[in-house]
This record gives sequence, C-alpha cells and structure tokens, in this order.
Amino acid sequence: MEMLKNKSRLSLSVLLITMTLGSNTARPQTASAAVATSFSGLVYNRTTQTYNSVLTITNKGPALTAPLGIFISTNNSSVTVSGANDQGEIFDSQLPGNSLASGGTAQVTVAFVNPTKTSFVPTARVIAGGQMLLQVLQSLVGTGALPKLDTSSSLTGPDANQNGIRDDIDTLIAALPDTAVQRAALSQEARNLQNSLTIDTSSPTTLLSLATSIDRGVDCVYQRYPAAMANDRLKWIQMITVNTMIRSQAYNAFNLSMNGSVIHSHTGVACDG
Amino acid sequence: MAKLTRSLAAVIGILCMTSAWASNCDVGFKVIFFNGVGNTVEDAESSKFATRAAIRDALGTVFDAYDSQPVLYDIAYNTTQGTLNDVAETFAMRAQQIDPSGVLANNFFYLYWSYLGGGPSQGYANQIISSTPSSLTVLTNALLTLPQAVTGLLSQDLGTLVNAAPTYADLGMQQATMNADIAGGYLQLLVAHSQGNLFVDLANNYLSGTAAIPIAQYATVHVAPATARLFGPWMLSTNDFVINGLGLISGNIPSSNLALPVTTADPAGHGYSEIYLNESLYDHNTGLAARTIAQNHFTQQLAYLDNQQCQLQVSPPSTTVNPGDSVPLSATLTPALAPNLDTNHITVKYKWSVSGTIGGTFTDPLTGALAPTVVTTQPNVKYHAFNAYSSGQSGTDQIGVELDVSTFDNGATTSKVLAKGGVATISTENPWVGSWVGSTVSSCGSYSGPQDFTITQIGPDTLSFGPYDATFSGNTATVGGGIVVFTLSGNTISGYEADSCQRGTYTRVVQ
Repeated sequence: MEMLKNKSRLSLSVLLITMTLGSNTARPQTASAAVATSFSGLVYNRTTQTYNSVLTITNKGPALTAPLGIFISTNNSSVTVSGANDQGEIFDSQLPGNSLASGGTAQVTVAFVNPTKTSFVPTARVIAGGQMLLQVLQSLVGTGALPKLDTSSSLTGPDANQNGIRDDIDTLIAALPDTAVQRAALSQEARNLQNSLTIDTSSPTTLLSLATSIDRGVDCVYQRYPAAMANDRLKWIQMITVNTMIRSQAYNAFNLSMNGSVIHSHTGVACDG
Repeated sequence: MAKLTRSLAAVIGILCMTSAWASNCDVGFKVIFFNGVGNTVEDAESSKFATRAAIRDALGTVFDAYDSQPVLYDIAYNTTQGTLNDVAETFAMRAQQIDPSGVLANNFFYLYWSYLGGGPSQGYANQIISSTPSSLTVLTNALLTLPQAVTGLLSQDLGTLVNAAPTYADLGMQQATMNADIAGGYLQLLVAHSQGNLFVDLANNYLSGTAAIPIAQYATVHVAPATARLFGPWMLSTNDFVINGLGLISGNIPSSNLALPVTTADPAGHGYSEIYLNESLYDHNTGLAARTIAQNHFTQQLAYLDNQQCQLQVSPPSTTVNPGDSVPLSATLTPALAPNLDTNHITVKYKWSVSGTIGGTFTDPLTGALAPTVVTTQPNVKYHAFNAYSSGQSGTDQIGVELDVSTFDNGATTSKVLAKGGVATISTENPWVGSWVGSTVSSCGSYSGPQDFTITQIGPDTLSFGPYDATFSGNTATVGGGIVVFTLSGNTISGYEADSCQRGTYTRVVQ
C-alpha cells in the first residue's frame, strides 16, 4: 500500500511546464496541473543584446527541492538561452530554504539570444532536483555501479531457491570477483542476517543461537579475507540485506534484544563449507 | 615504576585473598570487546575479529594464544535504544525531502549505512557524488555526505549515556561473565570502542570494587573513548568528529593523542576498523599506522597481564624417612589456580622430578610404574625412598616440581612453565634400617626356611637385627666378631653364618 502511494507521488513530482512566446510577445500556454508558469513580456537589453523575460513558476503540488532544472527550448534553432548548458537547461538553486513550497512561486530571469530577431516559441520543462538525482542513481543501477536490490514490502523478499538468502543478494554475491570459498563465507553470513529479520526476539534461546551463528559467520569471513576486506564485505552484506525501512526496523529489534548480552566465541569450525 | 605498580598489585592481591574473588594464578586471557555507538551485533563481531586479527598479526601467529596460554574473545554487546532507527530515519527524511515521490527513500534506503562508519555504502555514496552533475551537488551533499545531524545524533546519544551513566544492572550478564572468567582462570583484557568505554568504566569499577580483583589481573585499552576517565592506553584521533561532538556536549573527553587524516572511507573519523585499526592511516605525530599503534597497546597490555608471579611449593618441604618408606607430596600454587578452570581450553600438568643419593622414585598415576620423573594432572604424588644406594650411608633426594600450562588451538599445542621452583628434601635413615623379608638355607642341617628381620639402629655403629645385635661399617655388618656376616647391596641383604652353614637373602619391605 505504501508503494502505491509512493508511485502516486512520483507522478506529481515530474513537472512539465509548457508555454510559448510569439513574436516577442509572451502568450501563456498550458501548464501542468502541478505547476503554473508565466513569462513576463520580453524586454530587449541593448547592452547584452538579449530578449529577457521573467519566468514565474507557481507550485501547485508538493514541495519541490532545489535546484529546479528548467529546460527551455524554442522552435527556432537560431534562438538560444543565455547561460544554459548543452541540453538547454538552466538551474535555479536560489530557492529560499532550498525548496519551493506547495503554493509557492519562484521567478527566473531567462535571457534569449536571438541574433536573427525572428519570432520563436520556447518550451519549458521543469524537473525538480530530486528527480534529477533519482535519475542519476537509477542510471548507476543500470550500469551495475549501484546494486539492484529487492525493495518489496516483504521482510525476507523473494527466495526462489529457498536457500535462506534473498535472490537479489544471491545474485550480487555470485557476481563478486572473489573466490568460491570467500563467496561461500558471505552467503553463510547473509543467511544469518536474513534470519535476524524474522527472529523471535522473545526467545533467549533462539537469540543466543543466532548470535552464535553470526559469530561463526563473521569468523568465517575473517578466515577467508584479509581483515580490512573482511570488515568491508561484512558491512556490504549487512547493507544490502537491511535495505528498506521495515527491514531496518526488524533488524534493529534483533539488535536491541541483544543489548546487555555477552556473545562468546563459538567452538568448533567456523565455516559451513 | 612498573615493577612497583605490579608489586603493589601483588600485595593488594594477597590482601584480597579473603574477598569474594581471591587472586588467582591465571592461565589464560579473555579479550572482552565493548562495542561502539550505533553498532549492530555483526558490527561488534567484526570489530572483535578485527581485534583478534590485529593481535595474531602482532604476535606473528595464527594461534589464539599468548605465551602459550589461550586467548579467547568475547563481546559485551551494548546498544542504545533508537540510535540505529534515528540514523535510518534521518536518511529517509532527507531522501523524502529531496524526492517527495518516496522512490529515492525506498529504493536507495541502504545508503543510510554510510552514516554509520563508512564501508562499502560510503563507497557507493562517493561514487554517486562523483557521477552527479555539479548542479546537484547541493542535493548529493544533503543526502550522502555525513550530515552534522548524524554526528550530532551519535554524539548526543553518547552524551545521554554519559549523563545517565550505565549501572551495574546495565552490565547484566556481562558482570556475571566477568565473574565466570575470573573463576575460570582468565586474565581479562577489556577493549572498548566509543560508547563501550562507558561500560568499561563501569566494569573497572566492578572488578576493582565489588569483585575486589587485583589490578594485575585485568587491563584496558580505550579506543575513541567517550569518557575522560581512563584505565589504560587510549587512542583518540583529532579528526574523530563523533567524540569531538561529544566533547562539545559533555566537555568530558580525553585529549586526542593521534593525528589521523580525514578519509572519505569514514568521514566521521570514528570507525573502529575503518579508522583506528586501519593499516593505511598514519598518525602524523608518530608516523605509525593506526593499526600498529593499536597492536602495540594490545600486546603491551597482554604482556602486563602475563607478568604475574605464581609460586609453587611442595609440602612437606623436608622429610626424613626410613629407606623403603613412601612419602605423599603435595604441590601448592600461590596464588591458587582458579576454582573452575576452563578445561576446554586449558590443561595444567605438574612435572615432578627427583635427584640425589637415595635414587627415589614416584608412582606414575597412569601406569603405576615407578619412575624418577612423572607427570600428574593433580598436585599430589607419592615418593618412594626405595631405590638402592650403595654407600651404606644416609641419603638425600631433592624433589622438584613445575606447573606447566598448555593450550590447544588450530591443531597445535603450545605450553609454558606457569610456575616452578617447588622443592622438597627427603632424607633417609641408615640404609640398613627397615624391614626385610627373605629366607635362609642351611647346608648342614640347621634351620632352612623363611626369615625376616626388622633392623633398627641402636648405636653409632650398632644395629639390632632383632635376635641379635651387629656392628656395621658401610655395607658390612657382623655378629659375634664375624660368626655372622651380612652384606648390604641396595635393597638386598645377603647373610652367611659359618657355624650353621646358613646362607640367606633378604629384600627390603616397601611401605
């Protein structure tokens, strides 16, 4: 249910504002339901030799985070926007409080360079900074630079092969350039952490058993990796396992239930295999 | 000065013999790791094994042993209500502000781990920052760089602990474990990181106060201490922003003694492994790697603990016995071994030896055989003044005993002498003296058959054989000016009486 709400918010946070200017006269165009915009009339600045207009953005949706990415294009290839990047994008990072509150307005002065002095129709597209950042992160997931993780509402997530480890974590461990025995050690610990999400925290016996398993799992990782790398790998497993708020809350419940305890080193062999 | 301290410790130890936990002659080490703020169980485990790896590397061994004594590692786990949740919620709130759709907060929630001591999540964060257009720097900074709010939150949680210091009740089973370790014969090395120092402070109070444990039996290493009261060497970096933040709150932190560089791997500068056990971060003051400094502290404290003086004594210290008699001997260790020695990891053996003119022997407890050296697991042994000597004079044997402790790890056993120098002296009377059994045979019709003697000394050169007296000199005793002649050879006496044509052979009766 929470995911549906999030998706709903997503559609509101992508802001598309379209307006046109014709023959140096601003004529408001259709704006999205979330944001209303208007350009002031163009004023020619003889010093800069640009046609300047003030773009007013009125936020009718949820608060928007700075910077606002404002993409302005025209139907006249000879007209450009002063200060825009290659994509015709300008940014407004000057929002008070770094956000545009619901119902708030922001104004951006847009300077058009129009050497042929012909008419043009600009189009504006506004994306909140958060959306742009999200796009960056999603692209990094696409390249594999960031892990692709299950973020379902389930504590345990999908485990098709029923090996006690979430499938996406299985995939990520398998993709590591580590040796087979090293990956086996990580899987052993991943299974422990997965168990910690659903453990009965009212059962001291169960808690002790899991704590001992974690002790073995961590020992195994340290036996198969150099110490510094072992610590990194363990934190990585923990991070990708405890990757949603509800998993974090369940994991915290386990850790809290261990408060004040003593965890003895296991006896016997550390690694399962 | 150190010797003086230890001598005082020894004195205190003696004074404390009547306390609940008298001083032990300890035979192993227990490293107890007290974890830092915001640590999960797995984090604490990782820190514990990082400590083990550091100690192993420092000692150049893959064994969990120091000076042939076992080194075991435990975790005294403590966490603060809400710290992990607070940090997670801080991230989620920031992500929600940046992207009200909630997708950022949901799909990339795991990045909150970067707030808690770096690691791979910090690596991801750094990669995002480097891949994001500069126009979004304000957002990536807001989302991913360690926010003041988080260091403040961690510092604040520490401050809360400082202001409402843990009590013995908070130590809970950790207190009971320390008791059990003491009873199990372990010296304790307390290693504390961050908030763990608050609990170690309490543990020191407990050990020195309630438990009355001599200070020579436990030691502490403080890492990023959250309290100014210290009980051993400490490590605190000038760039530990969590402890620095705590200092602003409580004003009660020790002076920093390390100048470790700021690292993007752990911007808070507070991580146990990431900062203080990092072999690539060098202290500007000493030029040493942080891990090397930590290793020095660990091994120095182990050496301090290992410097205990245990003494062994044998009782009775001197005995005079008749030849052939047995003497029960007992070794006494001061201070005593722990009452509930951890026999899963520790083996102790008493090694007895004898030398001297008597040539006495011990009974091997396993085989029952008599031998001049024997190994026992209990402090008792039986000595026999049985073996022969030929001088015909009184003899003396010196008994020696040492107590060896050994541990078994990774398929190898190592051992050391825990205490030695236990000695005893056993003297024997005139070797003729004692009970003898045997028989005589006459070749001219006199008595033939069993014949026993109980020989006592009745004068400087006179023996009583019971029926008659004899004059002895060395190994020869004569009766009636030579009518009967006895010859002593070890534990055998042979006799000849000319007028009765009797020849007899007698052996000593062993008591």
